[in-house]
Amino acid sequence: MTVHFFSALFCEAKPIIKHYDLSKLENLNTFSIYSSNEGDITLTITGIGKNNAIKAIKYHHDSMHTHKSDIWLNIGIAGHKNISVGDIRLINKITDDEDKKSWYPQIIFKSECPSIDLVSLNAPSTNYKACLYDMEASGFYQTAIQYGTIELVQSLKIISDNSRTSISKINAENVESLIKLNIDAIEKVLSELKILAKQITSEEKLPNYYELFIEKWHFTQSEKYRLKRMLAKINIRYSNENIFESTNHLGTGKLVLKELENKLTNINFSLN
Amino acid sequence: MIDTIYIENEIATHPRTKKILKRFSKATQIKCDRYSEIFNRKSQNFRLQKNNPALILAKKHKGMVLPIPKQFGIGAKHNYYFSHMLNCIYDCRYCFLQGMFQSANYVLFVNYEDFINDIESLVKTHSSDEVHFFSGYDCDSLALDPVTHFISDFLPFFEENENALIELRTKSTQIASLLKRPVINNCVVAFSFTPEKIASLLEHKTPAISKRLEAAIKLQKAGWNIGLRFDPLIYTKDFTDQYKTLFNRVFSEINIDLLHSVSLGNFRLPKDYFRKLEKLYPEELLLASPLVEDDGIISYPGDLRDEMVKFCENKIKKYTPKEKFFPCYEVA
Ligand code: SF4
Repeated sequence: MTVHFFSALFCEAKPIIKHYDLSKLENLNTFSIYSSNEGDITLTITGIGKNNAIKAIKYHHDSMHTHKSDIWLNIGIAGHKNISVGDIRLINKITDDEDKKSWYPQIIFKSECPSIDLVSLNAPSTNYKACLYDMEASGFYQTAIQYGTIELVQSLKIISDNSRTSISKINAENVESLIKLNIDAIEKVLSELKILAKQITSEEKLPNYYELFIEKWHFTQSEKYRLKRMLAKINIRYSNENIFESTNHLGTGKLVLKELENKLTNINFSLN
Repeated sequence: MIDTIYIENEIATHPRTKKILKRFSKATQIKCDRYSEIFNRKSQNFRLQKNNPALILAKKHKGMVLPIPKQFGIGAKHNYYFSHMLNCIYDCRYCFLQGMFQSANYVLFVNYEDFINDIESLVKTHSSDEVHFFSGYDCDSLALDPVTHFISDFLPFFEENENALIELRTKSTQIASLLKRPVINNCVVAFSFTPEKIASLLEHKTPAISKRLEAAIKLQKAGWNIGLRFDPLIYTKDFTDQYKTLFNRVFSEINIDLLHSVSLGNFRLPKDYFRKLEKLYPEELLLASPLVEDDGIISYPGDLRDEMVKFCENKIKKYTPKEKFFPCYEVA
């Protein structure tokens, strides 16, 4: 499982880059992508606006080869009528101001962080309302859910301006400190998401012995699919048996599949 | 219990919506246009959502009352089902809902009036025959009754329409609303049972068999028609011992003379649903049972199926007269 962070601006990303000790991947230039040494945490700076977010997420997915069990987090600043500057919110509804389309991030974990709806605008606004305003979340969300699992794609926004604290006071320095102040809250959300992500078995994960079977016998593409499914079950049902050894004497892949099928339809089966 | 409630704008001011929102006053409320914006989206994960399902209050527009699949009736010529709710608070590992839906969120269609209108017109269409309506296909009929008030809102219609019968299919012990109201003869409360060991392995979050049986007995004593549903039959090596124990227990505690019906059904899932379950729960032993595919349906191999059915039929028939027994499979 990998965590993918996305922020529009470097100043939003900087505290995360520092906190997780990420380094810039110099071979990727279309968007700036950072990664931990182990590759388990990555971050892309998307640039401002919906269209940039869409392009950056596609680029990130293509470059980093993401999986269904990965976590996608959009971290950024947003404005609101009266929520205090520095407060953090999870986003439970994202509406694109341009086409009025809405998306509903599924917050299925318990979080101390309250949730709120957000409208993604094409340009900054000081016409504050009872929802958050930003410029990227709709682009981020609609693209990220094409690659990830909906429940693991979330947006976290930190209030940068409201009707009392003008948007004109925002600068790189205070954005950075606002995000930095909320690193703990971000970590907490992340740890909840990690618990969920563990419940998704990556489709990339191969069952035990699969590669040995593939090396020894020839299987067509559809036979490989069957083999994978059957081996996964054999591993659960006959967990103490080395299935590769017990089928080693068979001459062809077809005979192997037949043998596995026989083992699975054998009625000597106990649920307890 | 419910942290998040989505509300379709169209039914935001419906009295039932207001009542539910009042009950969950601390839940986050999110407005939407159609429930399909949230429910069953591509890339949703049923298993993850099951950790903390949201409630979606919606309006059902069409397809409210539908004919039931062949072989699922309990004696009437005309049989329909309706689902005022999609999904269930329980988490049975064999449940077809996991395969049918991408989402584990609960959808509650609050426009009960429209369901009742459709039921009424079907009752009129078949005015000279008995018509059965089944309510627990896409949810458990009673499990969320304290929230949905399904019983108090639907049963009065059946009270006035005696040629219609409603089956409430359940594993729940939420029977207070039934005990509170006058008994009607054209309602069957049908409890599902599997042997205790199997239930504890596969029927997560459900009341224990003893509690279900207790609820059934309480209702029966109060005068309600009780049905017993041994469906799906689940195979394990000592299934004969396990089912024998279950039958002995259930039939010795329930009043057999007053039983409305007993039915028996095989474990069967459409292949696509089964494949989805394999992906959601790759570690689940049930899915590694001896199973075969036949015509797009995954079930136990024919011989095993016949053996299980025959064993259970024989046991059930010892306790139940023929006319009260309804097999939910082709009878040879
Ligand atoms: S009680 Fe019925 S509807 Fe609910 S999870 Fe179990 S099988 Fe599914």
